[in-house]
Amino acid sequence: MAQKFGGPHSPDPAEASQETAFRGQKARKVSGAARLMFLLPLPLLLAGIGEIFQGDVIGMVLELGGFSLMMLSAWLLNEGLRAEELFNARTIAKPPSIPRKLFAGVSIGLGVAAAAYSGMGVGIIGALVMGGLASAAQLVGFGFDPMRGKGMAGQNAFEAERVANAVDKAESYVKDILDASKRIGDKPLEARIERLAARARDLFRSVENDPRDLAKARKFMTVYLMGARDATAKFATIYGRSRDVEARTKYEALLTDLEASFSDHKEQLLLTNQSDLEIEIEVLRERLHREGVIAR
Amino acid sequence: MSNNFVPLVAKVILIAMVSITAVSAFGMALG
Repeated sequence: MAQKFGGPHSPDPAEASQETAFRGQKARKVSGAARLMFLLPLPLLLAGIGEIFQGDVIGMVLELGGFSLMMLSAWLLNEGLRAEELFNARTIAKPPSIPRKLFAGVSIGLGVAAAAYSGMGVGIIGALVMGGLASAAQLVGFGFDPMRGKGMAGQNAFEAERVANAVDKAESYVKDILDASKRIGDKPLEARIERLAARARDLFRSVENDPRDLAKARKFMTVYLMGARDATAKFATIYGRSRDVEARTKYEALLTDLEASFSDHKEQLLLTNQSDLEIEIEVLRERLHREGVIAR
Repeated sequence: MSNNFVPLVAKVILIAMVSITAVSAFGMALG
């Protein structure tokens, strides 16, 4: 007979379920062209340094300034793409507070204009035309920032904004918890916290899908998560310093409680959704019967 | 296909412009 291998240090099959930290997360997209924008202006830095040796102050300012603007643009562009990706991953989201890609477009235009004026001798008008073209090319090539909130249209706008704010806040707690867990220096415990975070995010997604759930999940998304954050931060400090077994036991008990409460919440929300669906189906069928579309 | 074509051309133009201005400024500074 085949025998399943397992020992005291084998991973627990119950733990190795689908609830990994990556559940529901997408791989991060990296734009090669956006990364390249960090590399291309480098000759300009050398040119600026060359101008210092030649004592050309105006050339130096223009070239180093142009280099800085191009680097700023590359950074803003990459941040903007990241923000856009996060925006796309959510059902309800506010637009990013700073239009980074737009600023990146303006910045690259100014940088190219400064560099072209100093380094190519094209004159002010020629430099401005080149700068304008570079701005336009960047905005067309990489697109604009998301300017409008999503999932916020119609009469639910107020509700949706509340949900977006609450999820933003709760996400920041989860991020703090994960950051603090890195300081604990205990892999199994970190993995457990990551699973907890994945569960919390599951819950956020279901609140986003149905904003009415916010009322039920609010306490959980604020009070519990805030408490978990503070507890994790304190535990990480204490356990990192003293490896206190008692503190660990208590902290693990807290995690167990939180896990149970997460599952409860999720189940309740699903249950409500299900009863909503049943009512809707029943009402619709009743109506169809009454109007004679379906024979009784 | 045409959806991606315009941004691709724009990116190529952008990359060309940035590298040409940077390299020619470098060339001018050298000599």
